[in-house]
Amino acid sequence: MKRAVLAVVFATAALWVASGHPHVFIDTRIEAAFEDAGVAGFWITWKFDKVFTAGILMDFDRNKDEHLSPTEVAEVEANAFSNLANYNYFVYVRSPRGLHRPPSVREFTAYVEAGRVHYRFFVPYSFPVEDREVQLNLAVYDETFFCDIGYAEVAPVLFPASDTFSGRYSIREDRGIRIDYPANDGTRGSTFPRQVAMTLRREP
Amino acid sequence: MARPTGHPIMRAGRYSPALLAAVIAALFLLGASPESAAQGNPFFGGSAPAPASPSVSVPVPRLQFLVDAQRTLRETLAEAVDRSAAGTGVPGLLALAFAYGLLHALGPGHRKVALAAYFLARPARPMQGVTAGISVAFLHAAAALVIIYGLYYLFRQTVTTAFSSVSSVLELASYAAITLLGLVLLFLAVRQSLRGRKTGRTTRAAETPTIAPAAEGVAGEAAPAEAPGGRKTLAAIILGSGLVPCPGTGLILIFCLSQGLPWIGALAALAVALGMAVVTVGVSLAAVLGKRGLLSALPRGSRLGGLLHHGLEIAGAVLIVAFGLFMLSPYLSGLAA
Repeated sequence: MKRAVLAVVFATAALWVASGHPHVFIDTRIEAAFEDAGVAGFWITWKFDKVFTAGILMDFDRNKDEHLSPTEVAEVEANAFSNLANYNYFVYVRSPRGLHRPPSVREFTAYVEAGRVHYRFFVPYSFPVEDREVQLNLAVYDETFFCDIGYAEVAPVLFPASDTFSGRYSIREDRGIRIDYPANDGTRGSTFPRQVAMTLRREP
Repeated sequence: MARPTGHPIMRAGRYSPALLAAVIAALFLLGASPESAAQGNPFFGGSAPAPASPSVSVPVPRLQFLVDAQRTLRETLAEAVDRSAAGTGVPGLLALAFAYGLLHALGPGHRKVALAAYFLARPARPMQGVTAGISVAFLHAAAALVIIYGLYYLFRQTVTTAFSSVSSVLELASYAAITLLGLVLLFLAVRQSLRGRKTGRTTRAAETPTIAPAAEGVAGEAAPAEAPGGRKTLAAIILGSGLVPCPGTGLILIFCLSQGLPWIGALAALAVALGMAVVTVGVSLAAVLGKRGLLSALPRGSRLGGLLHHGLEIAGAVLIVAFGLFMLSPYLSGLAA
């Protein structure tokens, strides 16, 4: 009996370990962008780990100056970013309108800062913000778990200085939103993303 | 009357059927958990297509602190590579690479399902499980090393993206080979089952203890009889599973190359393989011993034992076929589109 209990404990622990199998580690920063009527979209910045950084620089930093020129950025976008359209750029936006997965993004750039490759792009998402508070949830999450995408330790969410709009946020695992992710072996699993819950309002 | 005994080291009194069943179940759950084998790099166009819609729901919790541990370990490993450029800390780097390989292989993929299913479908000795586990782990890492170093010294500039494309092609070939092997094993298992029925015997030949001292190297220890095509199918599952390059090893190799440390990269890849081998050997051994233990716990020659034996072999073969077909399905649907 004791052994059987241990076996079950082992199996459970193994499953938990098995649930994390990332190859690329990313820190995300989100910046809200506003237009006259309300939210215009979100700037997303990804800071990659040292190992993935080395791979990108090896392939695309042609002159090995640890700086990505406009030509090199274009190559990065074509060869190491555009395919993410098939994954909706790992972005989930939830609003009172429902779930939105961006089919495209704009203004991609890549750069090297403090020895790490960064990607930055804009996710368009128009949503009116009135006097009453509205909540938008944004999660950046790789369903395939090839990438572990966390939020930046410092200033993970930024709101532009504005006299018109104000916002606050919290980052939490939302148990009310379940992500069913497909597996490559005939099974599927469920998880709950850590997401940025933004509360926005128009200043009187 | 003496109690029927099975394999001397697997008597029911020492390894309860419940425990062994739990271990086998753990093996399959471990291997069959989400984000499994073919994790194509989503950043690159040549990567594996997105997986097909799943058919079975297996909710799996995800503990962030374990993911964070892998993140920290990878960063520490990268820093250790940097330090090794100055000629210091190589043993520490290799220890980290070993730990990374172990943790990495505990995750989904690395053909644990294929290995476990194979050893359910085929009679095998524990040493064959060890051999298969070690071979798959080292082939998995060696494939990454050969491809990346080949790409680097031939093309220099496009290692990461080309590695993803080559991996995708090899994965396709691997899934096709595994499916084919599963079909062969299914044929063998069904044929053996039908023959057993025809002769009116419950054939437990594979698991029935036969005194074969030379085979095991231990006097009086039981060993399963060699099944038809045993060595060929074992070689096929090793090659079919192991020749797909390990993406985790690949990234470490790329990092070492980028630092101008190809020899350190090769040593680190070996250490990662050793860490992975701990897991793949464990999975293979648990499947071999678990199956034998379950069968040994039943009275020798019983109808239930025979049914369980054939049932496990057929189920293992079906699992291999299902695994291969499911992994192939995104590629096949891509062709049909």
